[in-house]
Amino acid sequence: MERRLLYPGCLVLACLQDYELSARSVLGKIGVELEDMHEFACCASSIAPSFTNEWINLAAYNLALAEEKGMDIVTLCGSCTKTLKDAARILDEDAGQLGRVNRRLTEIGLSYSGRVKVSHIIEVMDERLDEVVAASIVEVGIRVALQHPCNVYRPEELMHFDDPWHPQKMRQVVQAAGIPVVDYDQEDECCGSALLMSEEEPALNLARKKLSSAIKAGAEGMVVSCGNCAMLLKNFQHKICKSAPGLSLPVIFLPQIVGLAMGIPAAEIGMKV
Amino acid sequence: MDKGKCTGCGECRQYCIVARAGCASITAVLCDGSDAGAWNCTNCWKCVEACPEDVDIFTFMMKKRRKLEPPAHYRQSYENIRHTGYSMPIEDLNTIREIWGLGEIRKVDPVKIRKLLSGTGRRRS
Ligand code: SF4
Ligand code: SF4
Repeated sequence: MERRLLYPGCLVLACLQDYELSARSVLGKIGVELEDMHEFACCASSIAPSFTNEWINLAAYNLALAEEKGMDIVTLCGSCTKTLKDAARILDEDAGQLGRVNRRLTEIGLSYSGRVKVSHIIEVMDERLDEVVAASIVEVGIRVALQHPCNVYRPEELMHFDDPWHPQKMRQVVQAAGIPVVDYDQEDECCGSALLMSEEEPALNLARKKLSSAIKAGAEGMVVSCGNCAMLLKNFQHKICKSAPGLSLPVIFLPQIVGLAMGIPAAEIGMKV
Repeated sequence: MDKGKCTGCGECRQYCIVARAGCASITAVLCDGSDAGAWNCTNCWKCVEACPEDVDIFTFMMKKRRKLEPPAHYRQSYENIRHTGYSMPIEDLNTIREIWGLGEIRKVDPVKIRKLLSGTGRRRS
């Protein structure tokens, strides 16, 4: 069993415990044990860089924590994945920046030298497709639409994972678990979640467009693998449906749907029976 | 502010989901110089993918934001980070984790966060 550190990020830590729980259960089934990352902090996301250049210290702090443990990181959200990979690349390419960051990290007893790999849960499952196939023993019996997490594969020159315009990796994972996937018009569009931070109604409209397109294509559920996508499509669904009652659609995390296919008990993947 | 190699060609705007939704976005700043919308972004990075000149739109947008008044949610999230290390409130963290059957997590010491983010929060660069 390989061991990696779970970096849940603020959103999952604060309110998406079902995502964390199912990620732990499902990765456990395919040979990856997730350890708690004590004392992790916000990755910086696009929030801290909006205010200060010091955002990189925050991202580097998390990388340094992992390096101290000698372990690689698994992420659950797109933005954490992109931010940590972005910081890791800057620190790898810019010795001056690495020096400045390390002077700050030294003050709190840490240092970073560039030896931490960051992988989103889709990447981890994609690396172990054979194990996903082997562990999937139950026919789930619902057709799902996919919400691809933009920041896991865009910008391509940073992420080096999947087709940046028509992502396929999440589909391969879901299909490896024997779950039928439907195509829909809005599949390659961003969910729009981060726009909630500044303009709520336009963000809800983007979600309405997406859900309506998925429902029209015959989807019985929407699979997400990012806390931000879940926040808009699931946690804000009551607002989405207020003016459009026909748009109600179950939103399920990637490891939950795969967990069902693996026959993992509902309680262990954070689902009500 | 330096737009780098931006030619104002408009490619980024064509793909921008915020612009297509009828809102102002950073692509307006890049394409026609209008100053609205630097905070309206879904972080989809289709603009970056589409830009023929490899403009560092992320850095450009972040620098632009530091000169503009932030929306309330951004300001609050950044205040949360500076004071607790997390963008969201997590006071009852371990009580909730226990209900879900998840192990206890030790939070970061806010003193460490203050050392990492020692600026005032509105640094100009
Ligand atoms: S940022 Fe790139 S795509 Fe956008 S207007 Fe400038 S050159 Fe064109
Ligand atoms: S990253 Fe932001 S500015 Fe760029 S295309 Fe997406 S929403 Fe528009």
